[in-house]
Amino acid sequence: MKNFYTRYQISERWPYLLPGIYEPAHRHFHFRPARPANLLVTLDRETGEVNVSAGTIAPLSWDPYTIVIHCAKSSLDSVHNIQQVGAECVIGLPTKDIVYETWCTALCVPRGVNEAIVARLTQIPSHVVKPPSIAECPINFECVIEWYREQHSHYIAGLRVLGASVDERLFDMPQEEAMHWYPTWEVDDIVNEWGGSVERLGVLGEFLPTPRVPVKRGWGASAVDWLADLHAAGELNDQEFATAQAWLAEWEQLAPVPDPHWGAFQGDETARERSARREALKQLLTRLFEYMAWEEMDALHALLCTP
Amino acid sequence: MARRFLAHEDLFDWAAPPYATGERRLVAMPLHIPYPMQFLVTMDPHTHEPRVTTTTLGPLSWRPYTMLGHVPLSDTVTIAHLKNEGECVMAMPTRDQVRQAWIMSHPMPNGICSADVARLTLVPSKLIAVPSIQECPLNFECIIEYYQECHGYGMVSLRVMGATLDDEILPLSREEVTSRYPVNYVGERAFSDGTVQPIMAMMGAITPCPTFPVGHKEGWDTRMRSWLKDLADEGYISSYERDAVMAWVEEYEMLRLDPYLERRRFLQTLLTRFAELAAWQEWEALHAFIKAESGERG
Repeated sequence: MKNFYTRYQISERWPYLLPGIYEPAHRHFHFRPARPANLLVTLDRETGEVNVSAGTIAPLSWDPYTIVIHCAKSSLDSVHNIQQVGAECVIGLPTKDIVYETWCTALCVPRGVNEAIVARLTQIPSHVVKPPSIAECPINFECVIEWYREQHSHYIAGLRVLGASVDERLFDMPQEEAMHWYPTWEVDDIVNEWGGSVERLGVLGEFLPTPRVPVKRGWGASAVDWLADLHAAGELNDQEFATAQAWLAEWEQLAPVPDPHWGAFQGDETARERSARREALKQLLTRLFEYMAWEEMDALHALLCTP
Repeated sequence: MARRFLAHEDLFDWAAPPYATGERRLVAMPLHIPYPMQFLVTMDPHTHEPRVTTTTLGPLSWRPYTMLGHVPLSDTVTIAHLKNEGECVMAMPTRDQVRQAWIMSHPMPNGICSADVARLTLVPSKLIAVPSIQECPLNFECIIEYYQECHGYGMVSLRVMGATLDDEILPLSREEVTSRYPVNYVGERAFSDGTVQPIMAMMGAITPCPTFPVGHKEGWDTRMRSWLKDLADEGYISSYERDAVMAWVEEYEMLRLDPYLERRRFLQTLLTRFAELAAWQEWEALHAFIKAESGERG
């Protein structure tokens, strides 16, 4: 059974309590997926003083390597500092060992007070940017701000990575071990005894069993490339691959008919025939990709023998 | 700990096959920032055929609730839908939909619906024409606020208009919910036999940050004055100490923004030390510090 919630019900952090729910913000966080956290180190635009704040990030592009940061408007100093294209900053990825310190960077102290000192984090010189890096973070990305924009309650900024200082241990550390250590993720808030919120941070846990398939290009490659890789790996013979290619070529030629019924009404039988052939091809190609994706090779071979 | 600096050019293994995805070309997988993964449902504006792909998700703002999706420009069909349609659905995949996520990450030819390929069921949404995914416990129905291109990716800002959630999720604890959805994309492994395996993970241990007296009782988004008041109200500092520190704050904020101004630097040092000792709950040292610096009774 599914229930629909309006945007107002989703955003409400203090709704009426439902049976079995004792946390006022409980429902709200069902709608807020955890996001990777970061420590953002900037220099004050006027004074050059160091500012450190906690926020969330998302990767954006690979060439060049860019990252998007999200900064709440309530982080006054950080928001002030990122509104400058060309300004430098450092993105440190915090570990689960510094949850306490990460929170301390979020304490509201006057502009100019260095949160790294308050949080007892160790500042170390960066290599290509002026803001310092954080020694306790296994990775510090040294970045320059490419763009920024206002986004309702937040600002977002695109950062171009100029380089990264990396804890040597990471080069030999299994991915699973690394992800159990860092980065921390912003998960939710719970309520303290005064009715205030307590931020909670998490790290990745269970790694899921995933399919291992002969798709050289991997994540993001087109399904047509996947098909070619299967052929190259010998999973499809030349005849089968040629059949699939022919279906795809015909599919590309058959532009969709927005409304075949209107065409038929006009006496345009060609439109109706074309539409029927397109529907048949759609079924064939859907089954082709389905069997391929679910590794049901017998069914795939049988389909490709279809006259 | 020993550190190694890698310039941008050194972050990637340029000998890796050019078709390999960006995360596979990184010289060390831990350099890849993991992210929560979503199914993005769009619709052809002319034929109304649905299309499903995977996307990165970055929530952006809470009021209104908006989130950011990233789609590679190479997926020209989805990009065209996002530019022209104005609506979409973001659905959260569960731990049982790993293969489906892998399938969705491979864009299908225009007109072929990967939900059918992935054996997922599209159902009507409540507010928008783009369908939702039945098997996903959470579907966000969104309108597109803006579209922006950046280094080979299209970024879309999505404003959430509403969402459907499975009833059984509602009473679950956060730990139970995050062990079900969403799936987080970590990267992928390539093997010498030409096979590739995506790496996906669920959220693990969750740790609370400290709460009052490490910060204001209310948590986020407060001023230092409120923190001082709460500390005094609960007896961590005396009212005299509160007033002394408050006076430092007020004087500091009255001074012009000049990093070389001696008085400002002095007050900055005092406030930094106060915040540090309070943050680390070193109350005896804090009392002694305020007494010494205020030159009066503690």
